[in-house]
Amino acid sequence: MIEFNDVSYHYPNQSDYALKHINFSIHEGEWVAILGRNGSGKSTLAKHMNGLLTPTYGDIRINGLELNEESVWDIRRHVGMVFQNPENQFVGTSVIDDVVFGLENIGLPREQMKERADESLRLLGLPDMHLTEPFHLSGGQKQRLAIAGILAMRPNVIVLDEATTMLDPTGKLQLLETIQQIRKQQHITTVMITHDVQEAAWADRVIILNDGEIGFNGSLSQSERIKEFGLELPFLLELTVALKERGYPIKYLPKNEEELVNQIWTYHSTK
Amino acid sequence: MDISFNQVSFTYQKGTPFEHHALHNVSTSISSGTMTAVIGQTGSGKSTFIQHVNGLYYPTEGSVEVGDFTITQDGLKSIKKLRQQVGMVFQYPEHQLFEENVRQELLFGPRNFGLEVSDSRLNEIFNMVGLPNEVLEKSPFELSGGQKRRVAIASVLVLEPKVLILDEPTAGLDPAGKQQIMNLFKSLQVEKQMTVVWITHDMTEVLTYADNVIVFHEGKLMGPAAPKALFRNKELLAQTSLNKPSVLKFLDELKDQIGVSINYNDQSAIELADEIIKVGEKS
Ligand SMILES: Nc1ncnc2c1ncn2[C@@H]1O[C@H](COP(=O)(O)OP(=O)(O)OP(=O)(O)O)[C@@H](O)[C@H]1O
Ligand SMILES: Nc1ncnc2c1ncn2[C@@H]1O[C@H](COP(=O)(O)OP(=O)(O)OP(=O)(O)O)[C@@H](O)[C@H]1O
Ligand SMILES: [Mg+2]
Ligand SMILES: [Mg+2]
Repeated sequence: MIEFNDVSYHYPNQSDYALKHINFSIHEGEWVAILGRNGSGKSTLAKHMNGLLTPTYGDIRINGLELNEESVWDIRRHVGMVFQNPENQFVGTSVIDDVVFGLENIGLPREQMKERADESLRLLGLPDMHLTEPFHLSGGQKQRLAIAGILAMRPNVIVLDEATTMLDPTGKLQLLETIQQIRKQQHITTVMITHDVQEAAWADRVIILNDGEIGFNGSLSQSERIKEFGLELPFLLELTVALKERGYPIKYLPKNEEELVNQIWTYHSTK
Repeated sequence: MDISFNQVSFTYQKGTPFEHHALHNVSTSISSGTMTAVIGQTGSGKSTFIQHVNGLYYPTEGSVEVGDFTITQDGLKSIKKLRQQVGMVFQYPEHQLFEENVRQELLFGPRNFGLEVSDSRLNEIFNMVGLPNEVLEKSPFELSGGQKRRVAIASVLVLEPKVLILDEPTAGLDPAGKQQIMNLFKSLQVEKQMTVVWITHDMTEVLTYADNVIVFHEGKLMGPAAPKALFRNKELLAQTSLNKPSVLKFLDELKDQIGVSINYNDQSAIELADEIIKVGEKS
């Protein structure tokens, strides 16, 4: 679905490359988390996925189609991107307009627009704020609106650039569950940039960027390596690794506390 | 400086169809030299609350006292003096970055207040927030999200305020950066007796760093409470849809599902793993 072939990128007037020889592919329906230190190149990488930035070297294919000046408009309809700062993507003067505007752009019939927008705003917990001006929302409400706008368009690929940093824990969990659901129903490919390693445990695979290069590409369960890249394990994963090192048969990385306790319980009840 | 809110209410866009009551009769006090976390769901009023402390909003009703300053609906004449002592980092760092390059950005505040800052001091502050020196000459708009956040924090620290007000200062920082920045705030509190008030959604951060916690729910304030006491208060957690830190959730699950009860006394994950093994061997 997404293919990067030896992609390097250099911002004008900068001494160093922000991306260096990036190679990877993500298949349809896969959920990939991208991790890495501040300034390691994650947002730069994301902006290549819908042609906001063009590689200095190398090429990118989306759904088999080479990303270039001709294909970029078509590709943008299929790749929905939530920016790190949601304020950069507000276009409407009210919450509902903002979502509807995106739907007009993809040429959705008028009757379906309202329904989709309503559904998406409800899913993101903004049902009573249709007439509010986007810039008058709280910080977390802004992030919710940005995500609602993209989900409503039902793109084939969703790229979330640290889109959940300001959600409360309950809201974050709801969003992750929503993603999992729509992914199953609609085979949506998800790329999620995050610093929250626990959140990354929801993904099928993680890619870790390190100073513009791919430092790691694989399963988070090989998490011993994660510390090499300036990432700390959150409590639950650190405990999981510690139990595994002490001989507990850990079968999978827990997404939440219950999943770890289940594994401990299974072990004791079969001992 | 001590901070106190006396029956503060705040309404956005009062008198328009979009009128919104964001704070309802909020009273609380925060002692000088403490570190206080402000938590609560999206839209509960946290940012509105803390922006009252440096006079970005004036209470619609009631008053806010910060040291010897008193802010009411009429505002405050000596607002500039207040802002020199109360540094504020916004939820979106973009809202406070506007200079041509990062060096100018850091010097803007001191210049505004007639203070001198040496180059070596700038480099020192840059180090404290984990930014490489070459970023000093870059435009703030050519930085990554986390780099912008660090610059915004540095631009407030350079003023050496007595009170630090931080709106989700660790959002968007990498895990190592989060620790570095939170440890920095803690050391400023302990060594310089700074009063630190910060908003966060990370309950582990609250448990690790807060002396006190204030909870917002639909514009109403609850607390302050000590973090451990707060996370034991089941009714309050349920009523305000708050989550517990991961370690406490895990220990609850362990007790409910397997009947193994381990008390939490600040053990690390490693220490807990050892305890679990011990309990397992006994059973
Ligand atoms: N518009 C720009 N012009 C010049 N340099 C830039 C620009 N945007 C980012 N950079 C630089 O490129 C590098 C990679 O930035 P990028 O935004 O991709 O990092 P990131 O991994 O997303 O970091 P964060 O976690 O902080 O968001 C950084 O060193 C940054 O300073
Ligand atoms: N400028 C504004 N005009 C009108 N209403 C506003 C404005 N800013 C915030 N509000 C509303 O006031 C309420 C409280 O907002 P506030 O920003 O204080 O929330 P918060 O607790 O900081 O939330 P978050 O965790 O999402 O940042 C929200 O319902 C919000 O929609
Ligand atoms: Mg980024
Ligand atoms: Mg806020």
